[in-house]
Amino acid sequence: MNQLIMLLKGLDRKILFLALGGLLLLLNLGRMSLQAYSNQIAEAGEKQNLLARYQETVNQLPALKKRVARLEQKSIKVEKYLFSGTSEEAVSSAMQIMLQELVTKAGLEPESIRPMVSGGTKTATRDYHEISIKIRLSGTLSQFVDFIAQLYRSDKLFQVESFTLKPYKKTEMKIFIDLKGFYTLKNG
Amino acid sequence: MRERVEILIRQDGVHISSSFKQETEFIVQPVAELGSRLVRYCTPKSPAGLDVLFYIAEDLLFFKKFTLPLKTADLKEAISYQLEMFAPFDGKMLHNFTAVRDKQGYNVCLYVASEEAVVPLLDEAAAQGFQLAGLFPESQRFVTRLCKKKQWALLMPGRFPKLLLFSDKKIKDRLLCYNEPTLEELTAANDVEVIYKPTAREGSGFQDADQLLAEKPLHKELNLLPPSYRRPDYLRYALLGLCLLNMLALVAAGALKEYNVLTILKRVDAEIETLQPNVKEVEQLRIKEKQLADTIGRIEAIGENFDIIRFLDKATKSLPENSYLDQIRMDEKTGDLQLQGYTEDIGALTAKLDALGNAKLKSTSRRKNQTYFHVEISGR
Repeated sequence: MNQLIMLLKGLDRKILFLALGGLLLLLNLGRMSLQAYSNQIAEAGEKQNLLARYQETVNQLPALKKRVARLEQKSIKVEKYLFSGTSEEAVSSAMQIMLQELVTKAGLEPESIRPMVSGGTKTATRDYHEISIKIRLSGTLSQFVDFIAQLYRSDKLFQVESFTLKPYKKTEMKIFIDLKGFYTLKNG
Repeated sequence: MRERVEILIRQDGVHISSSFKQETEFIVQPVAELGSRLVRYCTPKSPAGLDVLFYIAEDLLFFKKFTLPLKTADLKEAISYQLEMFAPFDGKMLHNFTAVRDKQGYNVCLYVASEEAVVPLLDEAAAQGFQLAGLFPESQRFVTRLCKKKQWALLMPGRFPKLLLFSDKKIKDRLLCYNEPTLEELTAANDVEVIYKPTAREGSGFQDADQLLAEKPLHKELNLLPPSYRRPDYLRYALLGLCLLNMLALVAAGALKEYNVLTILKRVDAEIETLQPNVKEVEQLRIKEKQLADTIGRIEAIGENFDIIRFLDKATKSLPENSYLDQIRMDEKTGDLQLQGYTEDIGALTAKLDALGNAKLKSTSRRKNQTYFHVEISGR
């Protein structure tokens, strides 16, 4: 220890400080280099993990394509049962026309077919919308049954929400039906 | 280890000794043909394989101890400037010094020799092919590892005896004595642990300096040999080379590691860039799949219509004779069917209610010989 102190005493203070400064500079450079290197290693690790995730994701692509194609086919099939049009009014009109035809075909006397716009709660472009329709008719039970049979057999989906049958003119009935018709909107 | 010849240059002549020969040789002044005599002395050994170490007797050397200020920028330069002022020699001089720094300044011990007295001898030895290993004051022969961590002194005989004071391996001072001093006088005047003297008499109290001569001298400082005679310091070059090589290896290793990391990063980046369109496609397909599944799920969740025809058929068959319906109503919220009518036989009606499903008789009332009923059938 004494020898070291003697040696340090023997050294020029300027040279000592210069050497110390140089040593500190070297150590700092080393520390910074190591820090930068470890940062790069960490970055490389993260990127490799990301790459592994990407590879795993991309491997799922063929199966995903098949699933989406199947769903698209199914969606097309399902959407065939829905009305489609460029606007709510156009669809409402188409529904009225169809119902009018069915009513006439069944021999029922229509008093009113009144669509009630629901406001379209679903907003996604691929989603469906619905229109409530209130129908007032008169006719016999068999005509009503005929109408319902045709309605259920038709290739468009209507949901009977409620109905009321009341006797009218001995052989006839007053018929009140609340229906829901479903549609999708097309662009343009 | 090369064998060496030691030449001590004294006032009265030159003394030659060697590690490989018991005999010594003395050449009286004026010394002539030192080279050829040295070759003869060394025969049969070849001069090329021998180192020659010159020592100068303390009598031939000028010694000066002085202090230089701490702010002195270059000690070597400062001493060179003042050399002519200090030294009593004319013409060129050989010099070397030691400097120890303390709070007051640099304590310098300077040795100076006249070049004229030494260089011709050096030239003669060098001309014969000997390798000159150094030129030291005679006192440096006695600085060995035995003097480690000691305050010691060496009393050198001569025209005037000289007391050389040492601390560890460093010379501190040289004092001239005008008569032969006793051990007591010296120890009283100087703070030393031991005083050595060449060929010390028994009982004098001095330690025999020959025991120091038996050890290998350290020769760490005060080499007066001019640079032109010095052999290249291969060890220094080797150390420098090794240091450079190490630095180069360190930088190369760092660069290689950096290159590897950069290569990996570049490769991974390229692969990521290649995969990115596919990954985007997967993300879009996943969104599409979810939208499609949701839409299909919602459409499928709309549910089936109530089978009105079957219900009417069942009701027609199940209701007893003479029973009439005033109203059939399906509730929008609950899906329950409300049947209101009248019958002549409420007993028969209630008996057949089970056939209509989960039916409940809500109320009955008797009017105009008929029983009016209200039946609720759970529709869903």
